[in-house]
Amino acid sequence: MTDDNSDLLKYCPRGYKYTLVCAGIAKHALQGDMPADMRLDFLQHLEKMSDHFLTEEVIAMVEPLSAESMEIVREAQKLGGGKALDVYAEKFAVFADLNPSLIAALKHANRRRGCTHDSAQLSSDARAL
Amino acid sequence: MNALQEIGPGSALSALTDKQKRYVLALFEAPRSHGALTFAARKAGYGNANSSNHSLSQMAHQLNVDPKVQAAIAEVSRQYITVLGPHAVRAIKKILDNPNHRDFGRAIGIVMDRVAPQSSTLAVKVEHKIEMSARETAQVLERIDQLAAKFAVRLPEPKVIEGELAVPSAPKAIEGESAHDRR
Repeated sequence: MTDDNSDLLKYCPRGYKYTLVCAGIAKHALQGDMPADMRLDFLQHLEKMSDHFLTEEVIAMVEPLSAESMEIVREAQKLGGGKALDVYAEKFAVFADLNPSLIAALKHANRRRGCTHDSAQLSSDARAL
Repeated sequence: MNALQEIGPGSALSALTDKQKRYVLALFEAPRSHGALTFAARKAGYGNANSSNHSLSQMAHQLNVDPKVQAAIAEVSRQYITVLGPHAVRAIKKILDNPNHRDFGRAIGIVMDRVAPQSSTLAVKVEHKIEMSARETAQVLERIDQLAAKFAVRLPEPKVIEGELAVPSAPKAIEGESAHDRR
């Protein structure tokens, strides 16, 4: 993790972090076999994740989580829904190491907004979530 | 043995005063249904020697509308019916022992219905038709494709069930006949 990325993660609201991880989880799930209605539910879930910061383009950049990342996800899910999201946010750096597309997506979102690690802007975005 | 003496005090009955308890139990001892309330009120000790039937009846009415008394009456009734079971069986047995009894046939019917009840078989055929709406399916699949493209999701290849790849082949020329001949 470079210093630049460390700063990015430091000032990024936790809501964006776990949303990106959730997008990766959904994409991982979509790789498997499932009924069409369930597949549509997952895709609509992805659609709901997008907002003015994490746009559809940003969500599209996220690659499906790998099997190793999914191991972490399964462990986190044992803690329950809300706490699992906290783990995704806190361990975002680990997820990002395993899946660099998460950092790339976050950087792209930042560039798109024309802000470089503007913590005040990111915090206000997080409140809007 | 009097059936009421066989009934032990239950929870609803024990919630009543002694006088109310006596009233509830006396209701079941009344010799006839008409005047049973007055009889029970007098037997329980309500009123005095000079109380008229009318005033005793009013007291009994007051007791009957009390939810605690009603719960106790329901409880005692259930116990009473249970206790009366052997009495009923003995009575039916008595009828069955006497072929000349006017209800002999009816008693046989009652017993047989319980010993060997009639059974009937009902065959129910349930038909449920599932109609696949091709249009709806196509819409869902189209929406899936749209969303998958929007979010760059790689979907697995669709499964082909007992299918064969159709390869268009060139039309066969009829043996011994050229295109020129056919013209």
